[in-house]
Amino acid sequence: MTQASAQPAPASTSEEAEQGVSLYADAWRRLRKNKMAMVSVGVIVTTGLLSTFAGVLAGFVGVGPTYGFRWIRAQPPGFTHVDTLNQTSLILGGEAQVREPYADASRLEFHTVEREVEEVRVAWNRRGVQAIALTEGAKPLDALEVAAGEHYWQEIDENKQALGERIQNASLQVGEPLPAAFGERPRSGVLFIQRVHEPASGRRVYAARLEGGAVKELTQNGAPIESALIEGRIVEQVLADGVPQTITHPLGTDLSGRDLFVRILYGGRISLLVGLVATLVSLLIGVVYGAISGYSGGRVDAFMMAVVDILYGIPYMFLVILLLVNFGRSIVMLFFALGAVQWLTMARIVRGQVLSLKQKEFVEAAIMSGSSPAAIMFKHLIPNTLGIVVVYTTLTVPAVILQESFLAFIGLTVEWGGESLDSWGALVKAGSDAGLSRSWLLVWPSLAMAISLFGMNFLGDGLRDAFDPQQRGRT
Amino acid sequence: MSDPAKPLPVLELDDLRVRFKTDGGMVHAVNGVSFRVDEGEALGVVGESGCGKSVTNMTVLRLIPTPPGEVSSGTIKYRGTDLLKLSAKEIRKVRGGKIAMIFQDPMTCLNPFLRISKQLTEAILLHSDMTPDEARERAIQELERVGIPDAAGRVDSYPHEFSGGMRQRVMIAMALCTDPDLLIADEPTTALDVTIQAQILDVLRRLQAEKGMSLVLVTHDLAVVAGMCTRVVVMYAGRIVEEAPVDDLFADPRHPYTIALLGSVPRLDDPVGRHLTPIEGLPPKLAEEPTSCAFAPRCTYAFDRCRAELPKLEPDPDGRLRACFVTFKDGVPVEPVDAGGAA
Amino acid sequence: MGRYLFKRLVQVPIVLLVLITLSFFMVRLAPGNPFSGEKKMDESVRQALNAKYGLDAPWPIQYLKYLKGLATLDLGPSYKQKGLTVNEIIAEKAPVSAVLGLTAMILALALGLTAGIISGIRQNSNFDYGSMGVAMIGLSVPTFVVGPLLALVFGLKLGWLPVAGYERMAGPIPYPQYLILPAITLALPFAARIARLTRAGMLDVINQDYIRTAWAKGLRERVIVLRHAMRGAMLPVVSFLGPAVAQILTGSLVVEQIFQIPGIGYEFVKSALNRDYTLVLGTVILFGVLLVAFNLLVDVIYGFLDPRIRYA
Repeated sequence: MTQASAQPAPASTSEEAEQGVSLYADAWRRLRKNKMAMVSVGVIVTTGLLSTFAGVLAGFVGVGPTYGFRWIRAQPPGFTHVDTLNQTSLILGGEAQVREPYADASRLEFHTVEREVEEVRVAWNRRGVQAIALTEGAKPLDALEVAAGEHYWQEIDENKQALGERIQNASLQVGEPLPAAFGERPRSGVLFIQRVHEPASGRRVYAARLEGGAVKELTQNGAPIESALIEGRIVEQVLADGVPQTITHPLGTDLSGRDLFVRILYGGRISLLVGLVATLVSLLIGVVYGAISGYSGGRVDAFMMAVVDILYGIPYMFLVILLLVNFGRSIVMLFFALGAVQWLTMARIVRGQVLSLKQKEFVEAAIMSGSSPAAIMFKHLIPNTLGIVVVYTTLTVPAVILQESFLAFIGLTVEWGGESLDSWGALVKAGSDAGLSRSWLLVWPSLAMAISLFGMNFLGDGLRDAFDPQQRGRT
Repeated sequence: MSDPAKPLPVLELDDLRVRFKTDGGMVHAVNGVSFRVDEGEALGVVGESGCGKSVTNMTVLRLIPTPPGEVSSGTIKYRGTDLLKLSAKEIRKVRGGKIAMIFQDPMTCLNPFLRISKQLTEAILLHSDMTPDEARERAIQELERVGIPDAAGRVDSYPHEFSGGMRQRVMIAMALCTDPDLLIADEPTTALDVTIQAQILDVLRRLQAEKGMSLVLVTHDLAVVAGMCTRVVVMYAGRIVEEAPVDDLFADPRHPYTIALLGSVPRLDDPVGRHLTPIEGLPPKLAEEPTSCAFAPRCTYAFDRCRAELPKLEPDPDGRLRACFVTFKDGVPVEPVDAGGAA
Repeated sequence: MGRYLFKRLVQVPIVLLVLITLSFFMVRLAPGNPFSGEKKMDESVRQALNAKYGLDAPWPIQYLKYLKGLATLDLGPSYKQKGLTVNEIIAEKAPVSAVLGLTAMILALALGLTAGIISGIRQNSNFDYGSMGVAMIGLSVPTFVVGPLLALVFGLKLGWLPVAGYERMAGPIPYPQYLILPAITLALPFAARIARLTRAGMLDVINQDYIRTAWAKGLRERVIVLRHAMRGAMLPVVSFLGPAVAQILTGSLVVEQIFQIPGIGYEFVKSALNRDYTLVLGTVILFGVLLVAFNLLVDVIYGFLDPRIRYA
């Protein structure tokens, strides 16, 4: 499209330029009419954004801030998150009285923070609510300071409970009105205050090994106990080996209790990164090689294409496997290894295009007007192969992603700085190893991967149809 | 339309309309075409590309893909039978058997993967009771008749081993090896060199006479028609605009489009220095059936009525058919008088 | 045809030599020693082992020795499977993979060609949309996803077929139920590709002038499709067969792993991961030879199908 600026050009030059512009405009118009392709664009953009901002999202889905900032890295195993369990009863040999998501866990760990319950009786009168009596346990008190805690009301008459609210730095005294911090209250009832002693003094760790929801082992601070009633607000650490979806984990957790959704996002990051960078590598090598070969023509071309032919005959994936096994599985190595597999086709395509473009008037005009080969190549030839290169690139990305995940699946996950980077392939592998009882670990990563690849393939197809309507529906 | 005194025509089209559903909406390719082909006659169908002449003739053998194509009205009678009403099996008997067709580009019309012998004998075997050996003999004969040297030796060649002209001869042999009544030749010489064109036309003319078959010659080339045909139908925008015996048409064209067509080709009897006048503009793609004269926008002689009303194909006092509101004599408008001034 | 095939034949030894050299030196260049992973190895033992396997010689000598072995089809001893030669391991495992691969290929061709032809001649029909949708899924969902999912549904949930395993009926041939899921898994992406190529080829051909000629002759649609259109439509499929073999070979790596099939693919992955160099080399070379052979076969078939090439 740049040739319009060139040389004492023949009339056909500007015609070509116009054709060029309308070719792209035309392609875009056709692409927009292709519903599947447009849906695919949506899918790809969503996947891309989700994966790129996986760190931020990890924060949103409540897996803790440390998670988000380690770019590219897989997640550290086992993280804690805060949940509230009221009245959790664990009795050795009995059924664990825990909520749905944890009932299937094989191991639960509760880090409880010591707390005490103060009970305050209140009575209502015209001047306001007054504390009639304060008790801690059974012991009467005159006054009570609460640095931090929660409170809730229980109405005596109607046996209703109000939700607990946080309070801070409140002081209560017999005969005095309640501080404003306690907010609205019923006419009469019992005010419960749970006072939390911070920092976690007297921390207790309960651990339970569960089998099918029954408590098989129970310990408190490492010592075996018979039963435990864990009450109140609890900081828990779930070391369950995977749970299906819950409110906090929309896609469930993996064997180390890590959020699967976040892992899929991070996996997508690796997969997309490998796909894009390796494709870029193949693009660079392929376009330059193909353009030189096609432009030179004659013996150089014959030789360069013979080399491509020979390299085509090599079972590349096996060499890549050898490479990764023998020289480490650095992600950079993988970029080049996979890029090297893909450039051959790109080179062939570009060469074919360049060969036919060379016959066009505007290129001949440029050659005759004495432009340098490099100028001709980069100004005239390569820009004009753009359409087909875009199409092929779009189809290469999913192909590379497939190859990487294939490698990850046979155990060759990529690494960076000694840490394994779990791509979608690695997640699928983990899922298929986890077995039928944890099928969500297989289903979700597979689905994420399939949908993304589906989108990319459809977009590539759509682009091809758009650029080359004659080729509509070709493979 | 048909004269009861005359014998039944070989082919008779009546008010044929064909339209195509495309991404850009409906395209009306053929809008009420009627013509007949008599026994042993050679009819020329002339017009620019896109005027509906090929579609019309493809429709005769129902070779228009449906969808997107659709015959919305009309009849196509072959010896009195409406081809449009035949079952799939019956029309297959007509195709290649009674009516054969040859196409424009001999380079692409032969199957590159099959031997010539196969391509010829499969037609013969389909439409006759011959044994494979007899069919092969027949194929060789037919190749000889169209002037392929060493036909017996070359019958097992592949199409790519023949030149363009030779391939068109093969096409003709293939069409005629079943002794059809009617041959529809769709631009049979357009893709060929001029010298080859003459040879192919020669072959066609000779074989038509030998076999006594009827011929529909579809072409945009008036010179081809002049040498081959007895009668000519001129088509524009899916309608017939003029029909006349070939000599009359050349001597006294009576439709502005015919006049323009004649003006755009060189003639041997041209006075020295005559300028060829190309027809400006392009034939229209019709999204609707025309309600006024479709040629009016390009016509030198068009006046108000042409843009408001659709001229019908009607006989002049001497019986020649044409569809125009302007009357011509020797290529010059005589009536209405103001028509010439519109230019 | 002769010249064309000759050109291809000349390339064969070059391809193989490039492959052998690349993989040989890739293995030799790797840091460490095949035996360095094994614990508590005495220096003298290591030296004895090195001497036994000829690893004490300079690389060029080792390389030439290896080539000499190859010339007599001797791939050397396995470093890790004591007492077995690479030839023995390949002879034991490869037939199993061949059974699986051939079954998958036949399945893929049958499925892909049927779907592709019907889609091509009935463009934009429901069948076309349906089968091309399925084909797109087949292309986008990797083998290692399909495999476990099939095992999960048909093996564990429905219990119709064994989840994994390979019980032999005769030689390398197992009871059919052990072959069904792996073969389908392996065939699916391949079938998808073939279906798309066939459809595209069919569409291409069906709009050619010579098909119109065939219609004008009065031939039946079945004859037109089978006699006139098929050959041209098959050409892109045939050229895909070469890469397809590569695809089936790589696919077998995971499929054999998923379904616990004692084939050469799984053997390759294991040997690569535990650095059994001779076995890895031998397998790569075997795969290379297969690929080259199939590419050559494809060229021959192509020439056979297309007279324009045959007589060029």
